[in-house]
Amino acid sequence: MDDSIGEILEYGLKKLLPLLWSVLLLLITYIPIHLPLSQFLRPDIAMICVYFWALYRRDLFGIFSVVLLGFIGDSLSAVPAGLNIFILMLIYVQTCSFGSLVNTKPFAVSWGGFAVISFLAYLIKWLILSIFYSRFLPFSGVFAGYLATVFLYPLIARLNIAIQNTFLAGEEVIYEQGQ
Amino acid sequence: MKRRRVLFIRLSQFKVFLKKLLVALVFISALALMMLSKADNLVLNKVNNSALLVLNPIIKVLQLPAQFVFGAYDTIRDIALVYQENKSLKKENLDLLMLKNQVRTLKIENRLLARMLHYTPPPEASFITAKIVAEEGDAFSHSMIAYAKHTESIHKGQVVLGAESVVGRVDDINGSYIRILLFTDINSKIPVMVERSRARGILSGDNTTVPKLLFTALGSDIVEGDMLVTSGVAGVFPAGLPVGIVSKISKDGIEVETITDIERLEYVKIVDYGVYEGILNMNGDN
Repeated sequence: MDDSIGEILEYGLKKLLPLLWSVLLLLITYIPIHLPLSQFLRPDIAMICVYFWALYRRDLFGIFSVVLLGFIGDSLSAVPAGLNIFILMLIYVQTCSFGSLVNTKPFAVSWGGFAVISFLAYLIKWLILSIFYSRFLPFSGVFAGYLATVFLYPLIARLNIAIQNTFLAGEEVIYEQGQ
Repeated sequence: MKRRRVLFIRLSQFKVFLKKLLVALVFISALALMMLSKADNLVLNKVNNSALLVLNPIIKVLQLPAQFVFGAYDTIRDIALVYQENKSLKKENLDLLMLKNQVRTLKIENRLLARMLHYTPPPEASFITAKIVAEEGDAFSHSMIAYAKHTESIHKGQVVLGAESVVGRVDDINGSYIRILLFTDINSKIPVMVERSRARGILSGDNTTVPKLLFTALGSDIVEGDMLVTSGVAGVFPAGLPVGIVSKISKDGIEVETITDIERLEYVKIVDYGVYEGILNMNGDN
């Protein structure tokens, strides 16, 4: 009896692990770090997590996880509610559509895929907000944020791979650099 | 006999259809939320506030190790700078002592003149110190979340001061957590004037590090290095609070440099000048 409860709990935790890990990473980005430009140049960890998990473990990272991540982002930031949900959902749908072309290829290809998808996401986010505020947001800041996100992708992906291979490896193992 | 046609839908097909429907619903709901947030919806605010009440304590706990690391870094840096700082502080102290004497004389003179004119001074300002627990800043928005134990006297729109100048205004309060909209955010508009020439304008954030001075009169006397202070025109901010320094004047506009180092902000003062109560009373009278 106890074993079965333990197994159910373990199964539930494993199912929730990508979401919980992503929430933790997202919350860490809001910690004040008092470094130059930290207030103005922030990578979008949620984008990385949604892309990564949608690419490799869609079975553990569904629409609910995407909505929750977006909702947390919306609540903590001063952007209009719903914007982050919309953008993350867009990434999720795009990744699900084209993910099968990328997920078996070397890491550099998935990184390139992320660079393309996140560029579109940033562009759409910029466009929506510009319409929302009826004025164009400075594009230089958007581009800097995009570059920071793309360059941080390998690190976050590596952490996600470690989580996957340590705790969720029973089902599937992700190999790095196309091993 | 003719066989009846029966439409068979496989369960997997139905699941795919449901998933597509759910995706469409999420997109539509997200767009609807954006529309609602433009209208400052009460229910939406309550949902957001409830989420913040759960999330902020988690961030507060998560920042403890980061605080330790950056605290150690700050200490080492401070030790390296201590000799130079001590030298400049000694010089500053001498200047301040001279200023103190001047202020004392001016204060007495001011009091005498005010008595002669039957002038009623404005109420004294009170303030609450709040600790920054979360910061958020990118190309899309600039805000911070601060924590204060007693927030009963804090209201939306109140001015927030850093160590030396205005850094923003209170955007939202939920429990002990206060969301501060920084004056670099695209939604921030502060009526300001040039301290030297009294030329007025609106300091408008644009999600960059340098907000712009807009709506200045043609031929206004503004030069680089001018100090900008709040003009008090809109009635939300009291007049005379330092905001920034004019850093660049070009045909593209007037750029303003912040005085307080926003990136290194740890504590802020949320100041109550009684303006909020004043407006409420005026509305009540009307």
